[in-house]
Amino acid sequence: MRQICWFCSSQIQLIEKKYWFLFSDEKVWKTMASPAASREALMVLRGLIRELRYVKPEHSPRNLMAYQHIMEQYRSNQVTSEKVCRAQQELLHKAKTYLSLLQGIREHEALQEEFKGRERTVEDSARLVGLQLPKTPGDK
Amino acid sequence: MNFARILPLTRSGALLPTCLNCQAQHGPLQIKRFYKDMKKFYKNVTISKSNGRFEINLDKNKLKTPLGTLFTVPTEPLAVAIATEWDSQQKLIKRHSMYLTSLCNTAIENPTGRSKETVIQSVMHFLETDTLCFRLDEPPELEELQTNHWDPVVSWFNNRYEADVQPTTSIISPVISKNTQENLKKHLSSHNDWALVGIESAVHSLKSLILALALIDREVDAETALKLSRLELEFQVSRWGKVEWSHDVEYADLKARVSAAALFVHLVQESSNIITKMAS
Repeated sequence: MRQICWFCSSQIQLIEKKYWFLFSDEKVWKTMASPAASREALMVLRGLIRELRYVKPEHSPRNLMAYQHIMEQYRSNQVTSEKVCRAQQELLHKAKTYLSLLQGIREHEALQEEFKGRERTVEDSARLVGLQLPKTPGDK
Repeated sequence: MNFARILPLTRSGALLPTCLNCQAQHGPLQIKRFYKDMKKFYKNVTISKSNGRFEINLDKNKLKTPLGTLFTVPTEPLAVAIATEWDSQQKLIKRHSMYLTSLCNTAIENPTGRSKETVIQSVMHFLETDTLCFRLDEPPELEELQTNHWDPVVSWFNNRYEADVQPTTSIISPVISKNTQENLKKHLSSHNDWALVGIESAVHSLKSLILALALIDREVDAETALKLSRLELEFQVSRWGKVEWSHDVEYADLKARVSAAALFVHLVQESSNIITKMAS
C-alpha cells in the first residue's frame, strides 16, 4: 500500500495499522521513506516505548525524559535515502542495547518475584508435575 | 605540643589505623549500606548540569554515591538513562536493579583502587582463557555449533586487532603472542577510565574478551553476544532441559548486565566524539 506523504510529498509505504501511534508525530513519518532500513529501527523504537510504559505505569511515557531523548535522537538521525549511514547504525545498535537492558531488568525482577524463596506446598508440587493429591475422607 | 598535627586522631582521640588499600590514614570509610530496600522517598527525578557534568536530583536532594560523594556523570544521555532507572522504582528502591547506576558508582569511587594499567592487565588476562577459544569436540553437534558461530567472531577479532588468537581443544591455555598483547593494550588504553569500567564488566559477564570487544565495536548486539557466550549452556539445556529458577533468572540478569555495560561504554564516549567534531 503506497500513499503520498502530505508532509514531504514523497511516496511512502504505509506501515501496518498497529504501529499508528509512532506516526502521530509527523516528523517521524518521514523516517519511513526507506522501509527496509527503518523497519528494524521502528520495531526497536516500538519495543522501547512499550518498555518505557512500565517505568511509570500511571503516567504516559511521553512525559519521560528518556522518551523525549530517544525521539529526538530518532528524528535527528533520519536519512531519506537508503545509504549506509554510520551514525544511524550506531543509533540503532544503541537503541537495541537499551531495549535489551530494559527488558532484562524487567524480566529479572519478574522472575525473582516469581521464584522468591518460598517452599511449595505438597499440593503445589503435585500440580507442577500434573498430579493431584487424593482426597481423604477427613478433608472438606 | 600539638599531636593532632603529627598523628591523625579521631574525634575521640584514638589513633587512626593505616588504610590497607591506600596506605594513608583516613577515617573509617562511611559506606551507607542498606540491608533492606529503602522506601521511595522522592517523586520527581530531574537532571541538572554544573561544571560540564550532569547531576541527578531526586526531588530536591542530589543523588550521592554509597560513599557519599556527589554523583556526577559526564554525558547527558547517560544522565537520562540513570534518571529513568530511578524513575522506574515503584514503592521500594531496588538498588540491585539499577545496573547503570552501579556502574557509575564503581567508576566514580573506584572501590578496588586499581590503576588503569592494572585494569587493562586483568582484562587482557581473560584472553588466555577466553570462552571462544576453549572448544569441545565431544558431541559432534556441539562442535559444529561452535565452529559455525564462534569462528566468524574469532576471525573478525584477529582481523580487527591484528591478533593471532587460535581456538584450542586441549586443556592447556594457548599462548598469546607479544604482538597481540601489545596491540590490544594500545587499543584498550585508548579508552578512558569510565569506559574501562564498562568493558571490564562486559568481559566479566560474557566471560570473553573477544565477545566483549565485538559488542563494544558494534559487531554484534547485546543479546547475540550473550547467546554466543552461553552457546554450550544453551546446547546442554536443549538436550537436558531447563531449570527455570536458575537458567532463566541468570539469563535475564546477564542480559541486563551485558547491555548495561555496552550502553555505558557507548554513552560515556559520546561526549568525546562530539567535542572532536566541534573542534575540527
